[in-house]
Amino acid sequence: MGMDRLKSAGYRKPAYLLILLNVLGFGLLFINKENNYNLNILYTGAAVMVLFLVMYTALVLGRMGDKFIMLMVFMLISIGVLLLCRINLSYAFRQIIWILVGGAVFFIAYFVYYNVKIWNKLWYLYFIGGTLLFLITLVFGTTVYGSKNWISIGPISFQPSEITKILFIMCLACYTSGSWSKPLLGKVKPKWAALLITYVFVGFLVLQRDWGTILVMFSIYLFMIYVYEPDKKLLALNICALVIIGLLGWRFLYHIQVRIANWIDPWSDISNRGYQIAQSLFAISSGGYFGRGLGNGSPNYIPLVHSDFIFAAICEEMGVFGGVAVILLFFLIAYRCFKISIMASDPFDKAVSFGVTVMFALQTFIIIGGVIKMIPLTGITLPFVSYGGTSVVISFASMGIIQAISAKAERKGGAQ
Amino acid sequence: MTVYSFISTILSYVFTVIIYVFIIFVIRLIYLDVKKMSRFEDNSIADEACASLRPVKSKTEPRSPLKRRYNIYGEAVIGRNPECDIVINESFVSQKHLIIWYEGGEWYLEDLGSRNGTTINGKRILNEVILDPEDVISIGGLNFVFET
Amino acid sequence: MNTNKRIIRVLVVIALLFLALASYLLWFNMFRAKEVYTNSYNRRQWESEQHIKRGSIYSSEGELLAETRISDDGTRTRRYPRGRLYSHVIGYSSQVYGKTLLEMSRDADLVGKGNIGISIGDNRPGNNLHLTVLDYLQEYAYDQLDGRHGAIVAMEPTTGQILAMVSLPDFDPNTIEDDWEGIMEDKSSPFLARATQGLYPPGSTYKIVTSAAVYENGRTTETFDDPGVFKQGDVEVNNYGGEAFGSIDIKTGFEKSSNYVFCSLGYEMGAESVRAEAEKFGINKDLEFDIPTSKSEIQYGRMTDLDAALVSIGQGGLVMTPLHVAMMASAVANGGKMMKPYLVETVTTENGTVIGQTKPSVLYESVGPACASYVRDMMIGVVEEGTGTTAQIDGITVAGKTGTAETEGGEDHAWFVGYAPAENPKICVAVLLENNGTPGGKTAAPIARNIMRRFLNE
Repeated sequence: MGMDRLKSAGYRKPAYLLILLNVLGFGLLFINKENNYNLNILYTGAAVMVLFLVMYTALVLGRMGDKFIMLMVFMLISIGVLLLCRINLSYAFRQIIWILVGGAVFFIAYFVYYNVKIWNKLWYLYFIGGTLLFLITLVFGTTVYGSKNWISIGPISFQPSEITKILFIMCLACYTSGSWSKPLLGKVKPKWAALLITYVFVGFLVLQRDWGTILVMFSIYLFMIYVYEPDKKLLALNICALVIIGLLGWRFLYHIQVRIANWIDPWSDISNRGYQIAQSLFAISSGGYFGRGLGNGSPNYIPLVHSDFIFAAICEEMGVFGGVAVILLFFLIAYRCFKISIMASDPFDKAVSFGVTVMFALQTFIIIGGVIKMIPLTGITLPFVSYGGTSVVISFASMGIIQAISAKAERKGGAQ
Repeated sequence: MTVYSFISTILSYVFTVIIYVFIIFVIRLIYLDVKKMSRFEDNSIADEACASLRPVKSKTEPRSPLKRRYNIYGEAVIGRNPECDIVINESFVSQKHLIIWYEGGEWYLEDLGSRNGTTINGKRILNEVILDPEDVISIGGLNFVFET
Repeated sequence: MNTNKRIIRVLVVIALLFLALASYLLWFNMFRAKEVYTNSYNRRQWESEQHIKRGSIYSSEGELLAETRISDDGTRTRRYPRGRLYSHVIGYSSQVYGKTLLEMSRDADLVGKGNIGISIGDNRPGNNLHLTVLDYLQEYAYDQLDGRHGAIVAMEPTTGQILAMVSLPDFDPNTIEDDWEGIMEDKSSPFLARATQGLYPPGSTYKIVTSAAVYENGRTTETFDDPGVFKQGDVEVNNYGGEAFGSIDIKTGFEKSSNYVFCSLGYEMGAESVRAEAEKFGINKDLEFDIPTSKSEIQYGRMTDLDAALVSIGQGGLVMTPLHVAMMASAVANGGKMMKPYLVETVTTENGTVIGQTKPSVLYESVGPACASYVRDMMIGVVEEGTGTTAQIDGITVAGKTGTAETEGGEDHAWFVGYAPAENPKICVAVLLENNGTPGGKTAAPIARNIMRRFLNE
């Protein structure tokens, strides 16, 4: 009757599989002649595995709430880094640094969110912070692929709008959770103030031509007021506004016309504007069910394959089944996050976790849908998978917040 | 066709299998987790899903007398909270202290993050564990024998 | 709790969105992937070609039309010795801009896909194509067009073999990568294969089909008093040049190409009858051919009898490809049977073994032999004493029909379609001069005559 009888009830099995996938995947890429047997590939794989083991063990042993999200996040990260290694080694090496930073940010976000108790009182700070980020972007920003949404400080560039999304969710959560109930200037109810803030932020994003983020932000707002706002007229009004703005955009904005035209028929202008989406579809169509095999495909024909279009590369080399698996993983993460939101007892926590989850799910839907030409393409990154420092770090930070909320609920429900 | 692309093609099937088995494991764990939380009462429980806890001699004397036997039908949460399936009103027992449940032929026990912890056969447990008949479960100072 | 209930609803919405993603991806892979993958712009298709030598293409006489050369460093160049001459038959095969026409549709043959006993070495040869096209006739037709925009299709009515097929303007497939930008910007669309993909009102050449309908409707004995203009409702159609023929029967109406007679006949027979006859000749139906074709069609949702009057003289909503016009006359020449046109005679391996041969096949039993001979007699009349006298060849009976098709806001198209010898048809030629502004009998008919004569003298 010793330790040998204390069998683990299954928490380790998926972890073993994850490790197995990484060992096989990075090992395979290492023996690819084209990579010149670069040892850094193995170090990259080792870094992913070590970070996973550290974080997972910390979550399980430290009773830091949900144990499943991190498992799935690391499956996505593994797939993403494997593909990046295969697309462009230097991207992969930079990405792994960002993932390590992201891991640290995850714990920082966890502890800060867990321990600070006045988040729900700071709506004006979120608003001012978001506005400042927008102003900085407009003044100092650089234009990348038609959207002016990057700031470069020395060698580091980042996308402030990624941070703004979180601030925006926190700001909305103050209002929806009821913590911000005092009318502004004695007259303006929070409901209208939140509406105003939404439209101000969307206005800034229009100036930056960041259509993807507009879609995500406005949808977060709509879902939030659907769940929380008893005044259903407000929701109806906003949906009308969305339709009208959409139609006006379609009528008058060249950018949007091009996107819609490319969605309906990329083939007629294939050498020019339809090029990218057509290349993406070529990649997907070449993969079949099981893919051409890691390193066998030609994902580099797709412009931007390392960031927005990485899903097409996954479909080419890991097949449609690989693509469906990624969609499933994202859905399972979203499902867990929704559950955390439902279990959360604090209204602010509930609203924040709901908002973050909607952001995460919609972002995934919009970019995957765009890449496979189910919906018009709007350039945003695929969380945890696409190359990109800001995207990775902010995704980790938002999962840190969710993790903190789940830990709060678990500890309240479990021990006293 | 090079050797590399051959290996890679073979591995593409392996990868697909690994990822899907991984997903199936995770879904199973989530399912167990959700089931544990839902704490349903079900009268139509098969015999093998019935077990019991029998208090035995302990270091600590209970403040209120214990029953001779606590029955578990499929699943039971043990704690101080009156909503628990098995209520043990002692100060060293947490509101919701631990859960025992039956799943696919095995009995499982998990500590629900109690303050004073749970031991089985003298070992403090951290993860879920599989229970065997005659295991001694200690909650605070109270000992129970697990019987099926 | 209400909030939780609504959160669960949002979860359901998200679940449906993700389900849609997964389903769409699977659907795409099952039903669309093959078509997308074979798009000529997909450079992945070239990867397999790094290890093979793409097959050559030859004319009917064995003239080399396309070949791939591999230099010492492994670079592959596709060479077209006849330059522009076959640009709208063979197309091009470029690493940058993909493949078109035969280079695309017969890609599998050219790269030797499905060859048994694949050898893993480099420069494995693909298969060769041997076309039905006669190189001398193709060149002659090209010269006859003399730079004018338009198309010529010459085919053997009894088999469907294409003997020559020229479209102008064209391009040089050898220098496609350098010329691309200019060609794309060229307003005259040099990439449009007019013979197979250009859609034009067939004008009076279509009276061939209308006369077949007349025969089948038992109206051959009708006579008309032609005032020179057909007026009905708000439709007003003049004869060419506004000429009034007075008392006239159908045969003379056909020979003189009276619009009054044929509009009246179309109007009397009605929309259903006119449409049914058109469909017997393959209009409104997709045409399967060795290279992509546009669909000849009557572009009316619901056709009225007045629309039918216009269609009967090849105007209104009716558009056809020059290839289809040639097929229409060929059907008459072949006793009413329309043969399926084809370009590729045989496919052979590198060492000459024939691994594929096209057999002539009937595409549509358009009309019966009696009807065909009725129409043929009228077509002979056109060349002997009607609008197409310029198509006469000494010692050979030619059957034909001229056409001058009006266009919206442009010069008229000049048409001629005919075949010879009328008793024993060997060649059928359709000539289209796009926006030429001249009557077909004056410009298009002599071109057709020259081509037929050249072929029959050979």
